[in-house]
Amino acid sequence: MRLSIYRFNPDIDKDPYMQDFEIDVLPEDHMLLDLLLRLKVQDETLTMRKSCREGVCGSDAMNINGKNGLACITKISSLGDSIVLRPLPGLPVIRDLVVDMTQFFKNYHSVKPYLINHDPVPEKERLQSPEQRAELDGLYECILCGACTTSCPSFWWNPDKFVGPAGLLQSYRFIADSRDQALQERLDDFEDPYRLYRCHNIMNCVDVCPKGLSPSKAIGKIKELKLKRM
Amino acid sequence: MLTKIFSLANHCLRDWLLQRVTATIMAIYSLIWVAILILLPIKNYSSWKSLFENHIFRYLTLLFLFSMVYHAWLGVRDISMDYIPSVKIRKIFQILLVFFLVLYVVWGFIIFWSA
Repeated sequence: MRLSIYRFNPDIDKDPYMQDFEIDVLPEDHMLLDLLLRLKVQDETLTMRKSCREGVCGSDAMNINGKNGLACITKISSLGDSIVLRPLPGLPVIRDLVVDMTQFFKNYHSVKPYLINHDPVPEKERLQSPEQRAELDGLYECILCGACTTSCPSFWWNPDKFVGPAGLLQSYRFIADSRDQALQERLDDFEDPYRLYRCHNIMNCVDVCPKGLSPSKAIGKIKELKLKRM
Repeated sequence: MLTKIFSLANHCLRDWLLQRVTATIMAIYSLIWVAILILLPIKNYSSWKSLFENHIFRYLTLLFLFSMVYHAWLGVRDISMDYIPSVKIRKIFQILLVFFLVLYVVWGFIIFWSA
């Protein structure tokens, strides 16, 4: 198996370059991350993020054969004989496959990703009906890996202005929550030509989401709510 | 006036909606054309002329023209917002765009009403 991996160490390299590795796939190698971890034993300078190794933490998001995904849940058998790995596009590279996600999280925080409820805190918890809880399905599962946002051309062009698919999905996650009381405030936050309306339904976000979520649908719902209160 | 046209705040939802409304109008108009081409025997200049002498069709065509131009304005303005980071260059581009789109409307109006 041949892997071509984006390498860049700002302390040494003037420019980034692609380095080829040849590695045998062993019977115990199932996922791409298994291969990468064995490669890291061969070349300790190879840098990547990883943590849970089961698609929950979102640390090892990278561009795999041109499509963003998580190395830990990408089967080697689905990738063919040669694999090209690059860091997530649209974010500054810190080193090799590690990107600086400051802008991504800044956009995420800008949508106030937490419940806003001014009622007195109940003794136990704020209850929801099963139907109200079901409204959050397809939203709460987001692991903030950044695969969607960094595959979105609108984010590439306006990373500091357009919230991006992940942030908007998270915004709708709280808009749809029956316990949240800040609907108007959240919708007002999108009275701006960039924050929400740079989404042109390109649908790259839906295509790459490793959790099978649809930020595009959530964005559509936000627009629908804005339309209803027009 | 120009500031009002180009200040995009608070117009976002209206523009988003109008983009869809104008697209729907264009789609319906295109279907009407398909029906006309299938059902009516348009063979020569006089049959074309008589088609456009029908007031309803003339107004429909004008509505299509306005929709197309406004749809183009919204779409190309969006592209300029995405791809032209310099505000000055973007404003110049948008002014030129408005100029040409208005020109097309006037030109189309003259064509339809001189028939």
